[in-house]
Amino acid sequence: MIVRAVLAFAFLVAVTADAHMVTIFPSTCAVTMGLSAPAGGVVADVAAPAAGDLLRVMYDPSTSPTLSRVQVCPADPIDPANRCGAIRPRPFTAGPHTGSIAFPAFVGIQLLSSGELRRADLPMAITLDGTSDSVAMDFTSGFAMAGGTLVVGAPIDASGAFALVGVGRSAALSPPLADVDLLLTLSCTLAPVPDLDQFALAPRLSRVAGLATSHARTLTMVLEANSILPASFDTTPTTLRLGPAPAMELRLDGGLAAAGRKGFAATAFDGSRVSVMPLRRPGRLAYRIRLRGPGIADLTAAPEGSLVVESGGLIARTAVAMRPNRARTRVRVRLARSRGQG
Amino acid sequence: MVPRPSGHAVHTIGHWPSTTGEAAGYRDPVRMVDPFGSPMTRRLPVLLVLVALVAGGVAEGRDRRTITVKVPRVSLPPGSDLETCYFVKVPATAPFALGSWRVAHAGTKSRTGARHFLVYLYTGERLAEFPEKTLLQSRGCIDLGPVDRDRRVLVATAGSNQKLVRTLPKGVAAELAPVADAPGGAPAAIGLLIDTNWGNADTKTHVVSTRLVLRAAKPKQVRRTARPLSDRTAEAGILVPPFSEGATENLVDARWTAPADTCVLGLSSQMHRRGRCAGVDLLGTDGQTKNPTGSPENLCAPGRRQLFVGLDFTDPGALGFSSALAVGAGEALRYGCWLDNGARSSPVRLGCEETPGVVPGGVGHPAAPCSLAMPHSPDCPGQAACVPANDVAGDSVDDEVCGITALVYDAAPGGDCDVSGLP
Repeated sequence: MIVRAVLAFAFLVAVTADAHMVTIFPSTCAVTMGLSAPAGGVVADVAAPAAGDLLRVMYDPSTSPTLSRVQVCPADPIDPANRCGAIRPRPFTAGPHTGSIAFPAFVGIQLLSSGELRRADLPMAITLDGTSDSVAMDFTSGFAMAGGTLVVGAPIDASGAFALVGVGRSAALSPPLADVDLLLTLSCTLAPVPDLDQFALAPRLSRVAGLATSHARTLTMVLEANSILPASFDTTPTTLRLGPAPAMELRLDGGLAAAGRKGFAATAFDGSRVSVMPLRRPGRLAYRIRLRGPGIADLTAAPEGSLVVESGGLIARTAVAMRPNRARTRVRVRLARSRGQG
Repeated sequence: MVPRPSGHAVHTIGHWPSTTGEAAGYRDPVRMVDPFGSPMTRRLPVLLVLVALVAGGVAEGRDRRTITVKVPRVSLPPGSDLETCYFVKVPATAPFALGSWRVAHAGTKSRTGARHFLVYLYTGERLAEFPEKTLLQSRGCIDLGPVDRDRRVLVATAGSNQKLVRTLPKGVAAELAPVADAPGGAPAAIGLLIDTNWGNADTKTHVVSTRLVLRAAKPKQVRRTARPLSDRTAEAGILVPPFSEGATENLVDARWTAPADTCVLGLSSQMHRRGRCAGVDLLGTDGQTKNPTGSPENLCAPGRRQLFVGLDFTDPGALGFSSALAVGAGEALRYGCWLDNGARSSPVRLGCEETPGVVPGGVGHPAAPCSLAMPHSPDCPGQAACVPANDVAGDSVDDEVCGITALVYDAAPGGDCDVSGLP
């Protein structure tokens, strides 16, 4: 019997699998907050994080976008890497007004392999001059519109830095923050920097090609979606930003309307038309996005730039190369060779 | 939007001819549709007729010879690490006697391939609730299908090899039994869950796919039938308070005791996301451990060596399928799980508070899940508070599982697991 067990075990050892999931240890970061009400021209001066005022981030990787997330809590000042602590409101001033902002105790935030973060209806406890409210804010590392101003966050990069932009509105706070779009930015650098490979696959951009002249501009690209990320082009805004020079920005708040059998399209107030057409690709969902619009007056071109596209609820970004002709009458846009993905 | 992979899936079922074997001219229909095989253009019309006849149930009543599953293509961007889940239902009213399997990955390169390939047999009774022929992504495939989705047994594995053929011990067939579409129903189909972890360390996108062929053992050569074993009694020992770690063995002595001399194939473990380690000891009839020398160390219990240690809920690993572990009558496999509820690297379980000041969640009644700790949570009944909760076993993907699975068959007289010489 012993011999049999040993023989069996010799085989057994050979087939026992190594762990494929690599443990991602929690990170901490000191959050820099920015609070403003762009429509009212209000910019608050939020205090810098005090010593020990950290967030603790625990990672919960999954290839399913709905389960691919981080859990964030205020860190314990004594043992920030290993324990969660109490909520610490951050004071701010806005002219003669004083108040505070507090991040909730435990928050689940969606995280994709590109470092993009998203969380809807995050209740931020804001006080101002004796009034207080739990303001539900939609946070994203992508685009947000606050009081007519388009802002964009930043995904977790190679240094661990990221920026979330959140927009919400409160009727309970006193002026000047009452009944206006509040923009809250949260900037942070995670340490240690997390390995993002194990999180849900993010959309990516490929085949970027564009031409801008003083008469017209065209830009086409392929948005390769993760096969199970839902895309709803008709109900979510489509936003596109190319920069720094030439700069191009487009926002279609109402989404796109069905066009043709499978496509979607919409025309912006400046005459720019965006169309989206699903492509048949082996093993993946992909969409061709095409933009046609009026020319660009300033054709100054920076050699390198970035393109950020959010459409159908999918966000992707990439580095692009911009090449002007000698006469500076046209600029070509191509995917940068380094293929930097947000 | 419902995902719709462009690579179509082909599931074919071959059949034993009623009176012949391969020597009598049997031709495996699966081989005829092999897209990687020799050209069969001239035989295509015949093939289509054959497939139509098989699909139409003409061959019903004869024993199945093969089950072929073509897992759809998936695109792997540079640097990606995906885990795909693919559930197939093979219509059947009688069990399939698995003798061997062949796995062929297509599109793999030196830096692109499968990290694990696992085939689970679904043993629950809610087959109709699984999303069929849909490629989903999930770590450990723990969040798709019905509430009894964890009633599954690992029946076949393959590693990173581009092609692999694995055979059960000579004279042994594993029983893959059909289950019902709904509780109380008649067996309708064999449910197979295919879990593949793909990695692409290359700088280019690669498209990969897999073809799995399960072959029946030749009926005349079968001496023993291995049947699925599943034991989850350890789940009564999962009670881990927030921000702490726990081990089931502190509360429950979970073990499976062999009723007679038994042979165990493919011993494996089951955990969910907060499970860090699963360890199994082989106990003698005297209750003392008799793990072989050189057993792996359980990283969650430093210094302790056990017969089997699973370190990953997505790929628990398994003892051999080709060589059985003998467990004598009265001997036992004692097992336990080690869990982390927010103390190390796992996020803490959040749940709806039922009684103010009392941590929600207990054995047998996990807390209702919520995603954001707050005094009045819209996720909770009656706008109750969402607070850190106890980690316990449950059906939800946010709750835990702790168990062992295997395929077991009766040993030959004398306790030998080599049954090939039996009459």
